[in-house]
Amino acid sequence: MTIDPPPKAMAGSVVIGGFVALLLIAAGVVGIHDLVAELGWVEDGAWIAAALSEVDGTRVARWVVAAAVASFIVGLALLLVALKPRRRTHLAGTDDVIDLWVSRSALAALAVDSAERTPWVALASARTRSRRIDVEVRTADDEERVRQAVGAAVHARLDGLTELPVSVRCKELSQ
Amino acid sequence: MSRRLVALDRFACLVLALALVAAGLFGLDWAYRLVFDYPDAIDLEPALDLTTTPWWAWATGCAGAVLVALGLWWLLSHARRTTPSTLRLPDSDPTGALQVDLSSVADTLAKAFEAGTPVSDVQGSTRSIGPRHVIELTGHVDARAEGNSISEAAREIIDQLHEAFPPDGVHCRIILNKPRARGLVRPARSTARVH
Repeated sequence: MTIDPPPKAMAGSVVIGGFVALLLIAAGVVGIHDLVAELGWVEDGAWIAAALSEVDGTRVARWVVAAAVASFIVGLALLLVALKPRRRTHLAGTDDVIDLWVSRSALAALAVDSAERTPWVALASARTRSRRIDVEVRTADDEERVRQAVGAAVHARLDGLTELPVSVRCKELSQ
Repeated sequence: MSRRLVALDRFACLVLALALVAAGLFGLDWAYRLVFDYPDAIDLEPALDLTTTPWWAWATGCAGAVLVALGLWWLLSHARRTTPSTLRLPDSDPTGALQVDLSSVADTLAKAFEAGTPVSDVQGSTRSIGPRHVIELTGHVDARAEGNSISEAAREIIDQLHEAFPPDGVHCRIILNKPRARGLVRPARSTARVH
């Protein structure tokens, strides 16, 4: 039986979390440096006071507008990253007893191989959507007969892995 | 990684995002005076006066040490293993403990699964999902594989696991990924040179 949660992709916020951790370390190093500078253990002066002096008296300039726009855009992007739910990467198998998960690309690869081994199919491609598997084949034979044969072959191949319906589309070989 | 760490990362990302959005909006408001009134230039004299106080250096030093420790803990938490790799068996009693190394069990199951199915590069790992110890087998399915054969082999592996361990002690999850990309085709040999 499958258990929650299902396999999911890594959250993008994990990378941001690592970056924030590095920012904290950098801020901490600055704070420790200023204490060390005050004690005279290093020759250069305090960094925080120097940075504040540099910013003090700054007037509005073009770079302020550019920086503000960039900050706003990056902030919006990070907001999306923070709020976006983790993507489910695999679909549950059909057996209720076992905890089996199959990726969409694996199902598509099996469907393509099965379709290409069907008689009169020259070329095949497949895509696993949320509610069905779309298979497209190119054939020089009767399209209806090939559609049914490919549908049955793909369905048989994927039996045990998924219950998604299979939709087959035929195109002439010359197209 | 634990759910708590993922939640912390997500919260930090949200706080950083809101701070950047706010900074951007205030920057534009300062430039174009849309909502609030601002002085023509930034005045940081009060903050600069603060940096000259006797306690400032010690405050920044202590705060710095705390931030470095917090940052290091956070960074190392991403690499730290949160899943215990051993399982204490129910037959343990006060006179002795029976423990099993789940990593070894995962490796053994991975090899057995790969040997019995058209699934390659099977890797076994252990993790916790809620209160359960979970052995996770991840592999790449062969493009010519039959779904039923994989399903039956998966059932056999899980039955083997439950014969050795109680069903509520260890859970097995099997994850199938797409077939591995085929290797590059070797270029044809150049024709022999005739001297």
